Amino acid sequence: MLGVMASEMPSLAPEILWEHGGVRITATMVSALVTTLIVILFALAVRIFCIPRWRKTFEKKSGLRILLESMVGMFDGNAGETVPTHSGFVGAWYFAAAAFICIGTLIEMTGLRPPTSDFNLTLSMGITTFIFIQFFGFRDRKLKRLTHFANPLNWITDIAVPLSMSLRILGSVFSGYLIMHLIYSLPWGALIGLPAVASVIFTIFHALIQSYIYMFLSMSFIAEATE
Amino acid sequence: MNILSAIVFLFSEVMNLAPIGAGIAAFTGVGAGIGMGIAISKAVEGIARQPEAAGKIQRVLLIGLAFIETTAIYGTFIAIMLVI
Repeated sequence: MLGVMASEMPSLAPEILWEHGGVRITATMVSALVTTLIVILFALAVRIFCIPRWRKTFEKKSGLRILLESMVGMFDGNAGETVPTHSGFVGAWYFAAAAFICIGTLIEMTGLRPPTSDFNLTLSMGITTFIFIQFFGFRDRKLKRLTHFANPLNWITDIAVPLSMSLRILGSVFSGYLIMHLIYSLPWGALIGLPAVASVIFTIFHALIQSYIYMFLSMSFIAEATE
Repeated sequence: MNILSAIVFLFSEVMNLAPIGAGIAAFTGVGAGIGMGIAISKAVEGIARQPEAAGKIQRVLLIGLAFIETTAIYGTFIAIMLVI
């Protein structure tokens, strides 16, 4: 198939870099660490250099601050009108999760395997949303939440939520990674303009859309459970 | 051993049937494409009728498109898993 052997195609299970005893380090663990470091260092840099509360120039606005304020305002506004009771916690947590998913998918452009292409990570994000839904549902409605489980059809809906969320992110990111891998295996003549166009469709588009969809759907399910 | 089981044996031992299944699974994109076309046409009609509601209609349209795209991604994912 244009010079790509079947043994070179990436598999769903990530490549194991180091294994000893019972400890195993895979390629996606390294990518997830790099993503977390990028997010934390960016937040620290912005907090120390652009928004210094201890300096007299705190009141001066700059372009980066307006951009950040608009992003935080969008997430907080969404949380405030969808989940009014827990908007502080939900808004903050899902902003961090959306930033992790977005940068975790964009890191594919540096050559690493994106951490969101690993089923372990997307399944854990889906299970986290499931835990939040049940926790907030039981805390807000106390025992009336049990009447929600009297209908057996709701059991299937509740189990389908984390599964569909994890498969949504995994399917889009993994197929994008596979197609980009195939494109980079082509002979040199096709590599001149094609990866730049294909990266926009398969990597950048999915990074932005999937992070927004994850945040919006999780907040909608939490709001439905606490109504 | 009738003729049907003989044909199935021939096709499963001689030909690898997984890529054919992958091709059939990729047909979920057809339904997704038609559904997206209907959704976008209704959204454009709504905006043309009332341009002040363009922001709200755009938001609802994007969320609906994400749901439809999820179904297409399910089919594509199954097709990829069958080939690899």
